[in-house]
Amino acid sequence: MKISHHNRHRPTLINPAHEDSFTNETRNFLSEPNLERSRLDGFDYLTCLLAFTLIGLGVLTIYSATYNPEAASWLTGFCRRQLIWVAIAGGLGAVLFLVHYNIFYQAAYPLYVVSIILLLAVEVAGSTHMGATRWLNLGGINVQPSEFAKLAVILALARYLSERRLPPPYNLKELVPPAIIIFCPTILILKQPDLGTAMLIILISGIIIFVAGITKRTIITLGISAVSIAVVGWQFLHDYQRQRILTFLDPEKDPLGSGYHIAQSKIAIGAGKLFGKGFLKGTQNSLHFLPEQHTDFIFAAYAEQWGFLGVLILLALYFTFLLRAIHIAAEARDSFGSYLATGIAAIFFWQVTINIGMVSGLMPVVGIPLPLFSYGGTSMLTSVILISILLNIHYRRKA
Amino acid sequence: MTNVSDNKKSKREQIIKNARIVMIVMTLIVVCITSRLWFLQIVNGEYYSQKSRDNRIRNRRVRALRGIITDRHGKILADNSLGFNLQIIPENIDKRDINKLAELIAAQIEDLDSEKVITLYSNCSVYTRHRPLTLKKNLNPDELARIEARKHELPGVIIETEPLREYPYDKICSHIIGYLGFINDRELKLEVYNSYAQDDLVGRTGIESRYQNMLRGRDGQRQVVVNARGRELESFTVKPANSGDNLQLTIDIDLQKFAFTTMGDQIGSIVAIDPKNGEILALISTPSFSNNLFSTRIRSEDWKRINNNPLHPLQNRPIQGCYPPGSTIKPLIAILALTDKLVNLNTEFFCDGSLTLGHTNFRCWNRYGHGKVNITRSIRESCDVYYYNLATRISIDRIAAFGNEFGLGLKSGIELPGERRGLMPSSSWKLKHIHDQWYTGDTLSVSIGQGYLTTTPLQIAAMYSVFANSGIYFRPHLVKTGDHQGVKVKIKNKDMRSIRKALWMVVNDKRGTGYKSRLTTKKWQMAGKTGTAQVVKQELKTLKKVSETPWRYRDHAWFAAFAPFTNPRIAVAVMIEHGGHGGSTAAPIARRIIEFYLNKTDNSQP
Repeated sequence: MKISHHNRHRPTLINPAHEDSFTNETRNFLSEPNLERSRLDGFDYLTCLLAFTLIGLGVLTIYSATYNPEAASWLTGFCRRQLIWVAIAGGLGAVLFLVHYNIFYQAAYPLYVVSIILLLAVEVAGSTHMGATRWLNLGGINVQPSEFAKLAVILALARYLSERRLPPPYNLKELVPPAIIIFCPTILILKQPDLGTAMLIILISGIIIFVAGITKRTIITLGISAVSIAVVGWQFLHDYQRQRILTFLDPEKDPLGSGYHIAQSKIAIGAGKLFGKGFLKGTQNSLHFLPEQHTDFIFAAYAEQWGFLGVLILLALYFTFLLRAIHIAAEARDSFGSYLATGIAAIFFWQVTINIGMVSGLMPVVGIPLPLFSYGGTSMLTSVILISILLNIHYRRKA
Repeated sequence: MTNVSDNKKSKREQIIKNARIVMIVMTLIVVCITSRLWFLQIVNGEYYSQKSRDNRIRNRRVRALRGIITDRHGKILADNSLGFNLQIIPENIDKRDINKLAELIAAQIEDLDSEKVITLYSNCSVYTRHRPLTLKKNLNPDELARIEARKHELPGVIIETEPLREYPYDKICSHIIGYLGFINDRELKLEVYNSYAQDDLVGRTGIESRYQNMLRGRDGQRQVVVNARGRELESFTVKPANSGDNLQLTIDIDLQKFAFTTMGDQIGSIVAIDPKNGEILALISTPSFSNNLFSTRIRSEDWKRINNNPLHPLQNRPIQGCYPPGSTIKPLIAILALTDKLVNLNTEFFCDGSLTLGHTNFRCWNRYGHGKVNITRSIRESCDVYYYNLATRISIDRIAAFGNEFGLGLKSGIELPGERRGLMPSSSWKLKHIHDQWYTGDTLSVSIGQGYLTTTPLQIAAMYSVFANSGIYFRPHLVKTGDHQGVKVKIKNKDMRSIRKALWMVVNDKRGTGYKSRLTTKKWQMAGKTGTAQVVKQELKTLKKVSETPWRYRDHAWFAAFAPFTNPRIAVAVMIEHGGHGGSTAAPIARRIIEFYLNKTDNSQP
């Protein structure tokens, strides 16, 4: 009895019990009836439209950010490359959409193990760039295992929580195993050091665990201890020590330099005022006062050109998208899908918050791109695949 | 099975409940971000717009070109040229390349070591990295060529051009033109200089200093759009620069040059004046200095060399040197005696080589005596005893007042800074400064241009201009203006004619002290007067010959002249410090200058 019960938690390819719309016992993506039904109304057009609108605005902003009137081609190199990445990511996303998301359930733990191995490999044989060891050369291709680990943690967490027998809400003691899942890669990432990604993993995992359900006491305990550790610890530090810690944790941005960057970014955003300076008329951007204007600071370039109204539209797009993602999480056919969708929503939520918070001077500079917007192949690929999974979860939601 | 379904149910409940909370939290955070952006873009939008403008729009000064200084014929004496400065832009130089680059730069440039380059490079902060740093100002053509040739190996190295002041005649008229210097911090605080900025050049001496405001012009303003690296992209002229006014001097640079060359390495002054209007044709002070050395920041060894020279090359001798005029004063005393009717043309005094007054023996330069001397002869042969006799009959205050009419003891008002007035002593002056009464003996000394009396070479030239134009004092001046107001000196024409005749005889009579320096041509005739001013008392000189006396004890040599006699176009005063006898040292120089000028003006003005 006990063994059989335990066995029922294991996924199996034999038992096609998918009529039970909210099960985590049996998954079979090889015989999936919904796909055959071809429900057009099952496809989430809204999310898809939001995503493409954001990508479109992003490409436009990359164009304006890298626009050079003296260049031979009207299409800037960055813009063209971004479009190519969008195409690749879109194709990959479409293929993934066809496959039941159960495949991620199956792959969750193996991927987690691989990501840990990769992070250890970085520790041993990573290439150092600007004082941080983040990159691993795999047969000529530089990969950043921390980016990969972010996804692996979400998958592993979603799987662990969905197959857990113990009913939520969980207390502090019951959160030890998920904490181990979270902190193993996080510590390795902190050692690189990459404070941004480490924090991001913790924050994303926090939302997943919160949605899964934890007791009020746990929330209060965790909240108080986190805040007090941060506040008390920070208070005891001298300015130069704080700077040193920031520099140590994130040497890529020297504090003096980032101060200048933030100042310029704030000027760019503020100078946009209500209506913005107009397309291609952002001087902060075109005269290169804005740093990283097509990657991490692209929001400032956008805000300078389109003003507060443009910013409101952009925030509305992201906000609708996030609400939609949470909605998908709530509607998923099984708890794995819910947790995964929550994780995806959390990724987008935190990245948008941190990025805009950073460029508008609310938060310290950490190198986090604006998803769907910033220039960069990896970021675009990850974002589109995440959206594809989201659509996947929605498509295969309970009837 | 109940267990499993309970588990499922509770998980689902939790998800739905908590998802709602997450949505609320997300909404709150989005509201936070929105209000932050509202604060930046709407509340502080104007502030950041201004900052954005400040970021990219820089006000640059457009330096006005300094006015050009020319001579009376329009030949350029002070011009603007370009200086080439070697600069690096740290931002464009990779940290790893700086050592190699510094070595390479140092190899092309004299007295610049690579250490200095590296220090300058590493001392600049993140904020100043886009600004060019000057490694060396005013490259010489060789250095410029070497840098240009290796430009491709020198990334981040640029050549900046800067307007410079150039003086084509250099030493020849550096005392007139003066030079420029960078304004210093102390001056910048003064109200007079409140329209000036750091790195502005101001005239330090000479015409450059005196006419600073006129030559300077008015700087313009340009707004420049720059990118983050400080590179200028566009520029708009907000206010055009007004070049300084050009200035024409009365100097004849050919004459000036000739006079300077004629002077050779002798120390002294030459002043040439057009007696018809007081225009200064040449003004020489030797030894001279190169004012081009001051055109940029002068090197300290050059400055030391010039400043520590015992002969004081920076001193402008014709206006700042106060010397006893010696016998050149005699025509003035003579014409005063005629005016005051103390003597007439026939009055004679006997010269036996000296005159004794009280216990003092006043000697004539000719110790054998001149015998019977009338006024004409006294000038022609420069008899001292004749003037001793006059001096016993004239009060010093009368001489002083009369001398003032000829400009002695007064500043002429020449357009150069630092002019000195010399000393035309009077009884009240002596009482005030020496605390003693005036003795007749003092007047005796003054009457032969010794004693307390000192004059500048300019004053002597101006005085002889009065004799040249028969009685009108024109203020000597350097800047060409149409307006010449002369002051008629109160002398009778008859007396003036007599003195002029006597001055003519000095040069043209066989017995005259300047006969040897008469003009070589018959076309014109010159009149003049020699002077030999004692530096030390006669008794101290044990040696008779000039060449055997130590240089600093030798007499000052004077010669003042004008020509042509009938309608003078030039009056000249030559003064050679410790030159010995005026007739033998100074007079030949004056003669050559006069001949040069008369030939030149005759050819150019038919």
